Amino acid sequence: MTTLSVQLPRLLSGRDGTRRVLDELLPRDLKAVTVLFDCSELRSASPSSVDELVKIVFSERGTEHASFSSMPPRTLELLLKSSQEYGFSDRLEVEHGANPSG
Amino acid sequence: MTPRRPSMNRAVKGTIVGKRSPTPDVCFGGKMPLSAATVPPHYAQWLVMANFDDSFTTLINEGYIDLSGIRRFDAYSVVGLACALTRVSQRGSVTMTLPDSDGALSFLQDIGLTIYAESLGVRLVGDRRVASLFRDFPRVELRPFDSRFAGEALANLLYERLEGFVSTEALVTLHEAAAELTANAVEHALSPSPPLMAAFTNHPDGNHEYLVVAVGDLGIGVESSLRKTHQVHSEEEALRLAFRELVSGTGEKGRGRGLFEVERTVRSLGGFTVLRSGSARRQEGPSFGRSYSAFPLPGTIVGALVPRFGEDGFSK
Repeated sequence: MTTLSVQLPRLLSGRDGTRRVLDELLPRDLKAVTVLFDCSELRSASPSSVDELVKIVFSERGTEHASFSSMPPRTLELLLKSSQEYGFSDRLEVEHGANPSG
Repeated sequence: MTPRRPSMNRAVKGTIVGKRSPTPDVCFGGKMPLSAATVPPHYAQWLVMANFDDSFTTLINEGYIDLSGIRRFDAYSVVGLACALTRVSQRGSVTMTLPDSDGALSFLQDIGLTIYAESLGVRLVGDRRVASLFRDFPRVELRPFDSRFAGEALANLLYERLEGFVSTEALVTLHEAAAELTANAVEHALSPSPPLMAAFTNHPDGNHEYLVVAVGDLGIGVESSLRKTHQVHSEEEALRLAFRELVSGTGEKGRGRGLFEVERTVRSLGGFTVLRSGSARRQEGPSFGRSYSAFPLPGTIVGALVPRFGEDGFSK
């Protein structure tokens, strides 16, 4: 199993922007890949952008496991909601760390 | 020399039916409507998110819009004015009398309404020599956008400009609102002209306790958009439905979370969300959600009013 570590930007403001960011950071096929998302720079992410992230990473690219560290609490709330909606909660790991943002 | 103002007939017939707005408590930060006795007498001189639909009908008559007596605007009323100007100017010439108040005029100039009006060919009447009173206050001036990418860029701009000026919670809420509302306008409105966005404080004379972000378009409206996937029988029903979770005109799984989340977080900070479409309006706040009739205007205008230092603990 390969592990890829990527850092999310300061702001995710929509579905198009999220897709663009993930296209730059990740390969199209994530089936044998664990992705570690470093969210220490992330300050705010819109509900749609978080929803799109979950859809792309788990549904479209098929990663078995993704880990999110230092995610702002508000974004984490949205992430858990979306992953539950699509049925990917069991493929998700959250590492709590300091992030002062909402 | 100030040009003479055109004669105005302030009464416009048949534009409002049904309930009138409650007392505009959102302007004062209260959570419950104030009684009539506590409404300040100068409220009639405001054109803001809470009273836009009631007051604007008294200011427009055919191709004339008279703002001379207005002393306060916010980003919502500016976006509403811009949408109305766009619509009316497509049908003929428009004359708009500018506010007498220096503060109100400066607000309109600093937020970019006068420039936008001129770009439409609107004839502006009134003395425009006024100092910029708001150059130190962060804002996103009235801007058209024509793609989701452009809307995302505006949301980013709003975040960068307001950072440090508002609480973290308010900043995140305003950013989310700008991102979701601009995306909705591009994706669902099918507007013949580019949607518009603006964000600014709601008070032109010193008390910058609230910020308003607003997005407007001249598209098909909420009812037509939701009819693709839901059985809706009226504009009022469509607006109520639009605030619910996972209700979307796309029919795709997981969609329809944006406006729901925006309204929820705005409310949790003690703010308000107003959504108007066609001839209906719905206002959602901390203690109530209500629907009202609105003057007919094609498209949708949606605004969120957020306390500058709003905090509900979601980042704790």
